[in-house]
Amino acid sequence: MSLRRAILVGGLAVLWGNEAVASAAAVAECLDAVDVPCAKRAIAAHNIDKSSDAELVYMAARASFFGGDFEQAYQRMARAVELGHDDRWDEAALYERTWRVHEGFVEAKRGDRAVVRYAPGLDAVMVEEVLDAIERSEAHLGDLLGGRPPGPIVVEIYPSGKAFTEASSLTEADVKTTGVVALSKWSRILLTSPRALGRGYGWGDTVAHEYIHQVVSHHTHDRAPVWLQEGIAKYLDNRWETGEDRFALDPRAESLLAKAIQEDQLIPFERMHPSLAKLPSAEMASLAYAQLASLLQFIVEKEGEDVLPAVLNSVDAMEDPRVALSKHAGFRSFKALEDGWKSWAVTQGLRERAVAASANTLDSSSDVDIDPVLSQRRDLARFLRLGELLLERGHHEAALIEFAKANQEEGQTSPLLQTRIAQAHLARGDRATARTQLEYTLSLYPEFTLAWRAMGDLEREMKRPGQAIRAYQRVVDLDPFDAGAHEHLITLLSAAGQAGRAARHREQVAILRRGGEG
Amino acid sequence: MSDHEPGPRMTQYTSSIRASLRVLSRRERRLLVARMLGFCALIGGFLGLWVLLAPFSGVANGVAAIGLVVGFAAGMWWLVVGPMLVGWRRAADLVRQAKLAEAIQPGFEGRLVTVAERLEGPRGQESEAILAWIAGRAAEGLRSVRADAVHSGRPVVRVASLAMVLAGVLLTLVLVLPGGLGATWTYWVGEEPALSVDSGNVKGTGEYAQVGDLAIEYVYPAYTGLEPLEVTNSTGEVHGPPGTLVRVRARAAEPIERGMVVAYEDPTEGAEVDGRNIRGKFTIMEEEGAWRLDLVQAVGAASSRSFPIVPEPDLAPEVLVDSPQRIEVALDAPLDLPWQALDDFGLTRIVLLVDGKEEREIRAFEERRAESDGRVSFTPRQLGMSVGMTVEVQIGAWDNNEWAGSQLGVNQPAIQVVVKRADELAMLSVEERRNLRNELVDLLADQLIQAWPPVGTMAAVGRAGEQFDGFYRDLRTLIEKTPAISADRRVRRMVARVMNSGTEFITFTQVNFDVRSGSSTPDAESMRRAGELRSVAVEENEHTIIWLDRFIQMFALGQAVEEAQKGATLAKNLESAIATEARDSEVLDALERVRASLDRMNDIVKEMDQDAIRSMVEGRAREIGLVRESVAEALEAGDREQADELAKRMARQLRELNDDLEYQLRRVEEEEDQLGEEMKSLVEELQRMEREQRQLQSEVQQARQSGDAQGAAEAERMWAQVETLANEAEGIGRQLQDAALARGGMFMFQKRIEAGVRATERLGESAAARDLRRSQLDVGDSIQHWVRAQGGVAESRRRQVLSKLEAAERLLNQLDRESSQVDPKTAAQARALEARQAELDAAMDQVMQQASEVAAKMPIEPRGMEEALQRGKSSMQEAAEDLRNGRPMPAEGSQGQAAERLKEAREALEEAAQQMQSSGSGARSGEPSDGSSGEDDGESDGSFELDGGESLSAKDINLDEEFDLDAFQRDVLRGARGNVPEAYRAMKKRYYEELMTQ
Repeated sequence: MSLRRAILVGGLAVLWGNEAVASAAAVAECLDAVDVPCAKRAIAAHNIDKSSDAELVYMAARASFFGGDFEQAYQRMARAVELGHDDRWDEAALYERTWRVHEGFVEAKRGDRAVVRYAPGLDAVMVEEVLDAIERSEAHLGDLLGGRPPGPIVVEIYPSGKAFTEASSLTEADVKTTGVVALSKWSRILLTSPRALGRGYGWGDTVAHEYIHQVVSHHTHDRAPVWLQEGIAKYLDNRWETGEDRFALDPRAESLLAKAIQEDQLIPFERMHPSLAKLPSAEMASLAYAQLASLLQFIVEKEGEDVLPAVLNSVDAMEDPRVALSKHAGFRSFKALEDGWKSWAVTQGLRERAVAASANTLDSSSDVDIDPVLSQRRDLARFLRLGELLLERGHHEAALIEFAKANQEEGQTSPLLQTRIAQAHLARGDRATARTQLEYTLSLYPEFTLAWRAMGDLEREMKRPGQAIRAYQRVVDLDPFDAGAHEHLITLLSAAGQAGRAARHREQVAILRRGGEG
Repeated sequence: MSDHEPGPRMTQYTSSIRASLRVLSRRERRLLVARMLGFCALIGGFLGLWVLLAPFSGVANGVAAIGLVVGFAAGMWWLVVGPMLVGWRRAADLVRQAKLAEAIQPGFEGRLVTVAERLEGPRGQESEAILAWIAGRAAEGLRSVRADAVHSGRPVVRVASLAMVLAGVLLTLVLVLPGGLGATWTYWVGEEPALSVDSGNVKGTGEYAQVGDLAIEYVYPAYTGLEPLEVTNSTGEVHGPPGTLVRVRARAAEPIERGMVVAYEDPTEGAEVDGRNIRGKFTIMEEEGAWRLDLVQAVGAASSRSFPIVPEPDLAPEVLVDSPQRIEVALDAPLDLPWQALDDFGLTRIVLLVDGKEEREIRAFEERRAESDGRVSFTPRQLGMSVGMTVEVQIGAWDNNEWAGSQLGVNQPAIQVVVKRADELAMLSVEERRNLRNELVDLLADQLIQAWPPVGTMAAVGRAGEQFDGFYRDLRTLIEKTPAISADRRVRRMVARVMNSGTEFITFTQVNFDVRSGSSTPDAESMRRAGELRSVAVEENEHTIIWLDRFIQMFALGQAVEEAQKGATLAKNLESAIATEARDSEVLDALERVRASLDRMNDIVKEMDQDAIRSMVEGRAREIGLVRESVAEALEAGDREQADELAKRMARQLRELNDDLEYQLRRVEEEEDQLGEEMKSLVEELQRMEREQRQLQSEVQQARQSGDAQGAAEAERMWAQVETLANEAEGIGRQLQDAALARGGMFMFQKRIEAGVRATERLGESAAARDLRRSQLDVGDSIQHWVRAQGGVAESRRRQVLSKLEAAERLLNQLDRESSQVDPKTAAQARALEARQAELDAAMDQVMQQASEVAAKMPIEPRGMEEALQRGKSSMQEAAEDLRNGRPMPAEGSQGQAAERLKEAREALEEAAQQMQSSGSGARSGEPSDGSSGEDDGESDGSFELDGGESLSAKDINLDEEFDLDAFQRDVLRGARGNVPEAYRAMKKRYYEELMTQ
């Protein structure tokens, strides 16, 4: 126990003269630091297991919940409520829901640091990759932020949006509004299976992103405000694979930021503190995230990577995060930091493009649902569908005419529509136009799986195995459940003499075809 | 030796020796004869065996006979004749006899043979004395030789014994062989042998009565329609349907004193005896039995052996119905079940059974008929059924069995008949919808890639119209081949629009662009109009494709949800089986049902275009399938605990799959609910604006009439004249149209006349609405069409039409002039109302924005809504302008137009809502959805109406004002859960009823 924590605990005990309160505070302190082993030690040290104090039992329930023993957590919680705990946040229901969702889940481990919990079945196809993502995140990000958090890093894969919602304490409306697909909470990373999003998503970056939240929470005892956490995570989450800084704002964020700079509509950072929730629209929230990631890029480029753990330490020491950030970035004030960043940002050559906000609709029913434009424009989606029907029946020229009707002359670009247009061109043998179309689509929507899939098909048809492998690999990175892409990779990799990689895809196809590991 | 003292002479001995040897020779011959006789007996015995056994050997009697002859000949030659010829001669050889004697008595030492060789005297210089001495010794020795020692009788005895044994065997076979000698005789001579009794119940004398010449006569029951049959030389076995009278005739070996026929162990009466002949009769019953003759003869009483009685039962009729096992039929539609009934002897009645009870007689037969067929034409209503009932229907056939009573045969299995409303049944199947959609997609491809506008000339445009007509050829063929398209009211309407809009364009091109006009350039206005009509044709097609496609998608989703619900039920059953510790076999049965359900689910989702749902379901199905396999493996390994654990997991997965699909459906519902709210709000706003516009129109009219009553009356008189003229012109025009059609003139002229009639009709409508501006446009349009019709119709009649139209035009021009000469008071009143018109115009901007936003969210386009609003806005602006200028009369017309356009927009929205509902109804497993489906549209003959006059419009399926759009939206897809909530059913029923009373 650190000196500061000892003082806190001791102070509380003295203040209230209540040993139970002190014990509860000790457990809470551990959990805030995402330190489950510490919480368990505190429970043991204070003999909380045998306590009949409602708050102590409640703390024990929380510790169990953080530790992933959901049945015990629910039972302890129920007992705490019986003993008089005021369950104002309805946690008992959450614990019970989580317990039910996790029934039948299995666990895979790599060493003593990486744990994946998942429902047996198709999700087995990505377990190895998730373990890999945890290991790499630890290696490339943990130390960068001042050290790895204690205890194993646990990722839970939820097979559907519904399961994720039930275990996340979010409502369906929250999930629908925010498009959230993962959470770092209760010392665990809750991840929605890519199969719940129709065509997958960049779950690797997401694991890294949530891991960063865990690290930041640990080092700041969860005192870092959301805006700081999101800024750091957004800025760093691209490094998990190799440690290399590949940060670039995604096209949507870049576009929003470029427009805001051009129109002088940037959001003052003061408005983001203490919470981003006060921002009036989802678009402003997206702009805020873009600004924050860019701000962190600016600070690190200016002062180096060491600035990040230093800021976290200051925040942990209860320094105002704005002050801590500006101080370590070499500015006299937060305002000066903001001005410095603005001057820098203008020079970054940001481009405003016709990119729509992603539509990460959990448990979507169609490709239109995941299209950021057409999901909002069913009238245009009608033309898309007509084009698809024409394409299916071999009327490529006519399909292009219908697709043209769905294409807005002004406004944002629909990646699905652009992909279909490319497929129509490909079907009529115009590979060059198809390629241009797909490249354009992927430049705007680099995580649009269908476009990568079409690109893979195009490259394969053009006998360019290297590019085809790259495209199909991107498909399975985003959507590991695409058996067809795995099969193309097996063929291409085998032909390229990469038997090892081909074998892994073969295993994955076997899992997908069988419905699990068997 | 000297002459004076001679020794014994040789001849003294040779004579006795010769005699002895001859004795031996005779014995041998006797024995030979005896043996030959024995062999004859043996041969006879073996041939007898052959005769008896050949019938059972499977050898044809001809072959057997040849065997018999060959066997006899060979046996006689080798065993009798041959040995006889050889042995007889050899037996006469005395030297041989001597040798045989010496052979049994070695003491002769060759003397006997020597003497036997010299019985006639010494040879050459041989010493007679010595020979005499030898002969003496031989004769002495010969006396001790016994003839039976030289020629033993044993071989003869052996042959005789063998012959005796064979005789015994033959006798035994004769007694035990089936059918006795009669069957053997039949075999060898190919005819029924005269019967000789060889076994049977022994009575009296202890022997079977010997009877033969058995003849059987069958007299079949009258109902069979079979002629009597007589079988002579019968084996005695009788066959026939129960009730058959059997007359028996037989002859006994000895005269008969008394006799009777005994059948089924019961003596029958009426036997007639005549010397050795006897006649009797009995009746074949349902069961098997036997008959015989009991005779009293001089030798005593005896029975013949028993003969089997084999009844041939009369089977119940067989009924075949050519129908699916489950049919859905409208309350007033005939069941239409083709049937065929067959019986072995005859049918009496054909009946219809409902739930096992005889409900109606379909046919009755006066005369015997072994088969019949027909078609059931009763309607469910005639059978006392009602909508919603499900019954089991069978066709029954009664036979004419008068002996045991009439028997009923029915078709199996029974046909399940579900009674539905006619409109529910008039729905195109999903497969037919898919075919129709694909055909429309092909049409769309043709439409889209046709070069438009064609380059340059009128002729090119005309030819483009002709080409466009060709695009519809396959669609027309499909419609002809698929009667359900015409029968399904909604589909018919949608397809009619596709066809009619195409016809509109084609007609326009043929009317306005003469293919014979060479290189003349078309006018811009005609090209613009042609382009518009062409676009409408394409849009109608697109609209219908989307509508059909949505139905297909929603149907698949509904099917998937339904199957998932079944899966959830299976999960429940499985858990229950585990909880009650059911046997392994029961668990395995449950697993098998799960497998079948998953297979069905996979089949359903294959039809889905919604990739995400399809992959989700396929993935889940694979996961569940894997666990199912593991459960089965655990059970096989005897690990029940593990199996139960896995089965619970599988049950949970099944429930989750159901939940997830339900969730998908709920999401669609929620989206539809939200959209429904917005549509409802828009409909209300459009209604409000229409009311206000009509109110304002009414106020303008009042202002005009109150300001200048005389002028208003005069205007009204002129309007009435215009209306009359328009109607008269239309009437003549229709006569011309009929005449042109009957004459079969050029297609181009027919279309021009048709266009003229329609323009004249529109004029009548505009005049009736007192819409001056519209009327002036319509009269000009109409005149133009009739001018172009020159050459295609009777000229005098065409001039009559034109004359009336020109008169109407003059009146309208006069009205136009007078409308601008308004008294100041009226003009002021009109100007005062302009502000309110301007307010409505401003509100129109908002409602157009709202409509645009709603339309952007609708999966089915509200066809014409935005155009109607645009035109409504133009009319409002014209009305405001007229009011501002103090001209109430044209303002009234524009206001009427604006109100009509608002109504059109509302109807377009409501229709799209209705189409959304009907296409969403695919998820209801074929249940119909919207209210209008219950409406009798007067087209129940199922004919497909192409544009023969007015094309179908939104008003045909107008929803009434009380239609609860909110409720409809809420329930659009709720029904997809399979179990439609009761409240919903009630609402729908009420809605249907309201529509029916319109």
